[in-house]
Amino acid sequence: MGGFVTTSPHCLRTRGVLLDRDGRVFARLPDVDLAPGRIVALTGTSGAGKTTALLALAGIRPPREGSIQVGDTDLWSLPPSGRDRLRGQRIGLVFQSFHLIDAVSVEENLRLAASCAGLRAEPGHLQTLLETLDIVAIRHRRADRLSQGQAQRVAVARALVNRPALVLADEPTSALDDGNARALLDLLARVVREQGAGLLIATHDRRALDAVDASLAMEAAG
Amino acid sequence: MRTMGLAWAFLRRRWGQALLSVIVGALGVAAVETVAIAERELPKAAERAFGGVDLVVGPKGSALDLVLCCVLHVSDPRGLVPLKEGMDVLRNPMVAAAAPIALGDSVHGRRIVGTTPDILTIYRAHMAQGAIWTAPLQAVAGSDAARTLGLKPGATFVGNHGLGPGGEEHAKFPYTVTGILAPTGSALDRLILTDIQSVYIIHRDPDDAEEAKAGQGGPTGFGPPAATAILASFRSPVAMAFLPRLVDATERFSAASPAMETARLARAGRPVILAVTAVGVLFAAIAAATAATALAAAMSGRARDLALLRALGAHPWEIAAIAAAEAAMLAAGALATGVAAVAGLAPWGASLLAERDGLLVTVAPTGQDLAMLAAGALAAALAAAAVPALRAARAPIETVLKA
Repeated sequence: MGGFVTTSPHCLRTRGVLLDRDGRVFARLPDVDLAPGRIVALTGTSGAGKTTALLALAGIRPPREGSIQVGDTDLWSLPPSGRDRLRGQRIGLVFQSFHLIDAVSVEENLRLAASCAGLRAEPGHLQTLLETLDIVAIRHRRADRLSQGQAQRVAVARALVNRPALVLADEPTSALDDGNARALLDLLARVVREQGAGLLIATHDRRALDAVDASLAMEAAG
Repeated sequence: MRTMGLAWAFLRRRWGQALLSVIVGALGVAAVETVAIAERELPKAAERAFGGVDLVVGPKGSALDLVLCCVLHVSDPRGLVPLKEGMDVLRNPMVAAAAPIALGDSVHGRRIVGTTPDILTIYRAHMAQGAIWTAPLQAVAGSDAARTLGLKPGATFVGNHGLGPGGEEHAKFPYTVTGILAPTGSALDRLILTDIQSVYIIHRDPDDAEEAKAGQGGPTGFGPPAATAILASFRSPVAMAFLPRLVDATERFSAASPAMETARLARAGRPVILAVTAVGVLFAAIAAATAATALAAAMSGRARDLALLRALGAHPWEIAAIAAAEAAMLAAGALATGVAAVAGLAPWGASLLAERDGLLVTVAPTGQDLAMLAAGALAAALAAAAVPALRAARAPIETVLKA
């Protein structure tokens, strides 16, 4: 599945990444070496540049300087269409507010993630995800009719539907109570490890730090 | 990407706006289609309604009135012409056939026309059942008149005075149907024909009329002195260049060519046609603008969704394709609804035209009509989708996803 084959032992490797805002460098991403099955937290206060860093790691917003490698591929050396495709095929995204497509069903949200990346959702893998995340019963329900807990699980399933090498999660627990935050982190950790992907969580939520293998702090720059 | 499925899901999500766009678009399609059909079919229908009548000779006055009254049978006569003199004017080698018509009575709204058998030659009509009259107060019914009045050979009926409903019955002078004409597609189908002497028998003073009735089955002895008009067909189109002038040069007669009057009417009606076309195009433009506004609003409303699709790896052109697909679906809906509306309402309009104006119109849109409408709808859809599609393609991923 997918057009990007990797032989690298790391699913994500960054070196010297500087981030800018309004033309000025304001933050430095610590160098990251993320192996498959590992979970790393990217911490920092609000405005420290965590989300900007995730956008750079996802190939959405360019860094001012530095290199970002997803598997063997230097992300920012690709043309825009190549970055879009690599993001779709090799990187799973979990957003703070889940961002499902409300107009379509749970299953269609998962299939869309595959088709946007130019792939077809593997029926077996899709079924496994639905079962693992306990969303089989709601697979045909429209996304705007889900509870928050259900939406969380669907968002995780969508991030994994293309068997990504890397999962990036942006403040996934910030709006959740302790119970739900713990449940989501456990779920993410378990599924990501089962899939053999690396997980980078951008968070300033201390509750998330207990669930990760390591944490890196954003550094101010300039 | 699953463009069509997603576009359909987005449309369903805001079905009210979508329905409005489809309805307005359908109005535009229907208006444009109606004008196209009318422009193409009305002249043909008028030509059919004229039958083989090349010239009408009547009293001095409006030529158009003469055609409306004596060929299409939709208006009242303005006067009479002396029959013998009129026939003499048309005694010309270029005239193939000439037949007087005398109007005055009707039955349930169908005109009873006193004439001679030559009228069948002019209209190229033939009998479907029975035979032509051989005496006054015998009648031959046009196909449509026979159907609506339930007339068959051997049936009798009584005429009413006047061409509209409510006239006094000529109860003493019942007609006997001797034959039914095959359909011609002309105004003849709606008429009931009888010997011209029948009209004079019924309308002479009562004593003379009784005397005349007693003489049915043979020469009545009444020479009809006047007719409403005389219809003629030509041997050659060249006659059109000479005969009307010849007739108009006389003191008592006026000539009218149905074909020329129709052309004149079409020229006079051109601004109306253009106005209706403009209204149709305006509807279509409003529909496109409504769709464009609705699409733009919808695209703004789902900027997050579009950004999300980009984040999931969709190309900008794939996002633009969603907007284009939505517009195309609205256009297809408007096209289908508009064509269906015309198909549904056209038979009603056609029967109204046939009943009121004697025009038999074919109302089915042609393949060319549909191709023109589809091309127009597609162009409107693309125009409507252009801006929203561009905006969608440029959906800023990061600002939306940061929210």
